[in-house]
Amino acid sequence: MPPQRSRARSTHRSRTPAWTWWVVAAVVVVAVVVGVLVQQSRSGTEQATVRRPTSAVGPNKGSLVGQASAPVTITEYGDFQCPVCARLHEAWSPTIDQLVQQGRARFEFVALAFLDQGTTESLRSAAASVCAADAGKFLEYENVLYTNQSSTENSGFLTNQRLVTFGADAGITDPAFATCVDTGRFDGWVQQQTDAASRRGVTGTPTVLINGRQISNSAAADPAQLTALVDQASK
Amino acid sequence: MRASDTLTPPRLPARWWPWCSTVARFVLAGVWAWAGIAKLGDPDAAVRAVRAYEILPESLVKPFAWGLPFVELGLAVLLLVGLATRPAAWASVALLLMFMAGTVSAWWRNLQIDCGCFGGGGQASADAARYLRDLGRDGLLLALAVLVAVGSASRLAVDNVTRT
Repeated sequence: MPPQRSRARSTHRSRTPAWTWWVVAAVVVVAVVVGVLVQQSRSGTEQATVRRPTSAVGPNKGSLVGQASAPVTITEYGDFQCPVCARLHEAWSPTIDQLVQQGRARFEFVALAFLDQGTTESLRSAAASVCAADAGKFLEYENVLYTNQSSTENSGFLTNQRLVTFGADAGITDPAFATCVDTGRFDGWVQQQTDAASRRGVTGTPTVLINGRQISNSAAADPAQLTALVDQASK
Repeated sequence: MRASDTLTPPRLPARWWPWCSTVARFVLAGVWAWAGIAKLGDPDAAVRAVRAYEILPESLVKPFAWGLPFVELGLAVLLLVGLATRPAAWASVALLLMFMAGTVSAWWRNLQIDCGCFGGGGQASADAARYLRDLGRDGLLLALAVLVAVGSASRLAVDNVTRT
């Protein structure tokens, strides 16, 4: 019935005074302003002191291994806490080693901090791998990190002490390596690289590229397919 | 007979609806608080998660990623205490519809991302089940938000005090 209806509407209106809309609008505006100010000051990427490593000479500013004359570059965006990355490493590293030794391909590794959850294990291990690259032992160190990966992410496994010990396992003798790891020399660099990768559209690890073009992880993990793709790219 | 059909069923609900609205408010407040706090931990992961949707222009990615958790916390507080309840519920409806649109859009474009709803960097191998789960959850929350927005005024709310 019409009269009842209009009464219901007017009660409803009196229940939501206009000022309550302004309250919500104000809360939203204040929240965004506060959020930007607070989170900007807490962002590692914004606050990072970036030191450029001498080894970062890959086309995507990653650590680069192999002969300059090699016609193909295989790039991996990886996180040392990422289980799929460790499985890929196991599957393809003999092929990668072979392709690099034969001068058919160079291997570039862009170490990212994607999987930290308020922790710094991805960040510090990635930065340590850059220290190892500067010490000329990237592949060895990568191998030690991936083969000794903890089964649980962010469990506190990758302490600086362990990262330094892994360096010795990889054959790094230069004492500068331990300093590089302990002082987090390349933390800022890794944060910058992680942000840059995200801007380039890398949303997951591992992401594999051959001469800048992404290939599927399953193709990368299959030696025959990987070799075929490298040969195809070198023509 | 006809009269009893129409009269008896609404009688009980009439008393219970305000409490349903109260419960819905608390559930929504809890989810917003959880979602907001989870996104606070890693500002850089929040930026990556928003960027992974490939919807917003780069200039808006950071304001969105950093403002969103605080907006969620603001709505959580309003809904918890019951201040500006209906507008806060409508804002929740708008936010949830936006999230659902983002999810559908990512699914449509076959993006391999995690929603980043409760923190994280938006990275995962997403599949249909995951997208459906996210949409289902958002749909349930949407129903609660609509209930609070248009239903009976809820009990245990600051609004009830300020009105008098």
